[in-house]
Amino acid sequence: MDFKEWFCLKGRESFTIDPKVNPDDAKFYFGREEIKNRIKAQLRRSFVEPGVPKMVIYGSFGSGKTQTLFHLEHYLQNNQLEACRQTPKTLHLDLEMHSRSDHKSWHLQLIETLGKSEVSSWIDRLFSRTQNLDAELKNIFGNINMAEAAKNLRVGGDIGLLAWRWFCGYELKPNELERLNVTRSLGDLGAGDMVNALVGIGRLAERNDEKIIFLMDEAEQFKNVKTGDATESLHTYLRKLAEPSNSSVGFIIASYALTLDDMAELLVRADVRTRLGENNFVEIPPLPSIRDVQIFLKELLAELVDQDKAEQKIQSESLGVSLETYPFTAEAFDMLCEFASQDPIKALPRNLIKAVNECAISTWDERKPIIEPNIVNEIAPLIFG
Amino acid sequence: MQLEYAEIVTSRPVEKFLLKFYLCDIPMQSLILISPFVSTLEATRVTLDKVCKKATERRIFTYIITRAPKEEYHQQAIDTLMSYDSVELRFNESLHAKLYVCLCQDESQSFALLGSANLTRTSIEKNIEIAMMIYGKDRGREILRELSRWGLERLRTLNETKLVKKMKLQRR
Repeated sequence: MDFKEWFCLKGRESFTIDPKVNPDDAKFYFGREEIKNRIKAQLRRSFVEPGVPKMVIYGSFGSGKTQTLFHLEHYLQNNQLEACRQTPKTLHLDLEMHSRSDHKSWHLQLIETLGKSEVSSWIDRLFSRTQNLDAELKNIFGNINMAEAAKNLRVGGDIGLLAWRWFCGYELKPNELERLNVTRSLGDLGAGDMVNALVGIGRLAERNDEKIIFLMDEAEQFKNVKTGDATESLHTYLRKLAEPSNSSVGFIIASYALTLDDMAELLVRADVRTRLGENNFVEIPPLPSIRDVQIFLKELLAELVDQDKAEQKIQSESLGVSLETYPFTAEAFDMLCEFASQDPIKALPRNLIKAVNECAISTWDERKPIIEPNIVNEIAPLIFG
Repeated sequence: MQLEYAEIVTSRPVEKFLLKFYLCDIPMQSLILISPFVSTLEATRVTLDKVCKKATERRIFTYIITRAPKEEYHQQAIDTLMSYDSVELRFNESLHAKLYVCLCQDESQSFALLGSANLTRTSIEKNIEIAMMIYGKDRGREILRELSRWGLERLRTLNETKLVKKMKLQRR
């Protein structure tokens, strides 16, 4: 019998949940009903005003920021939100910033995440529905250069690639600009120019019944930027994206930060905060009380353990434990909750999952059927001590 | 081709991994060392003793999986490992994989080495080895997660992987 069968695990090798490895895990959001409902309500509201979500979530390492992003994506894709007329097109991006990264780098990451084929297909579909593509594109982008470049995205080969490089913000040579029939490179006018192009692509997506929402993780990377000018240009890019006039490109940014002040400064400047609104800065805190830890663990076990198999095992082997806390004895379960809650800043989902896994592995080492208090007493201080 | 999240290492790969672990002053959570053969690495730049000392001082959970020792040099390394509280030691007789992972508090700082090299002085000084260093950036993050999960969960819980020594870190 292997570890998975030993603990009646349901379609998984361990008690770990990770939506990056197992996309189905995005549906889980254990023990945090209040914060979950708050974020979802905020998300629903955002489709009414400003028309698209613009949110920043923050918390410590292991607090569940990435899980929150994936869970919100799952929520958006599996629920028809009344106020959202289009289908949400969620795009994950782990931000990468270096000491000299500026708005061009951020823009490039966003555009690359969208992908040339996706944007080209939107233009193709628009072309199939319209009599006058040129006029439509001018209307969507509000700028002749952007409309010309977008039109060229439909063309295959070098021209299509050049057009894509233009949207990415690369500096093109004069003869390349001429081939695209544009008068300048994107970004020549600054960060706002690039945001306008991105928002234009967002409007293009809307015409194809899709709403772009970027899910940007690791925003603490902005702290790597050390050059003043680069920081300013990134700030301008964010401020423009945050403008109420942008109702086409949404974003949820996740950042490591223990408090708002701990975040990269450009994310929390007054002009950005005013535009996003205080309600759209959401802290993902540790589990605040022992009751929250208990609920988290019970929900986790109920989802990851095959309840029928566990019930059968409890009966047939006369284990004398309740299904609710299996594979822990009631005493071991309570002990783990106690340990986890002693220092509130350590009551984090990542630590709890690690503790469950390590207790299970130690129990497996001893080939015991259930996790007993002595195991928890040995493991929990290592993680929460 | 140059990738930010992966790098091929042909010169002393294990030493490169250990140096990075030993010299980096960043909050680390776990160290996973998987190698069929292990030596004390005496007379190399980062000895096994130095690695274990840092792990114990910084409360870095250290998981080591190797084969049961048959040679003197391997036994000496096991004796070293047995003396450190931060180390969990397991034996698996079928082990052929060589994988080294350092998981940091900030996932983007984590790194791993996957390749041909054992955790031995011979591998560092004499053998021709090749390995891939993977960093917790971009797509490397998912690879690192898979690798650490394989080492920390899958390999550790195989029936033939036997626990030899438990970790015994004291409460702060």
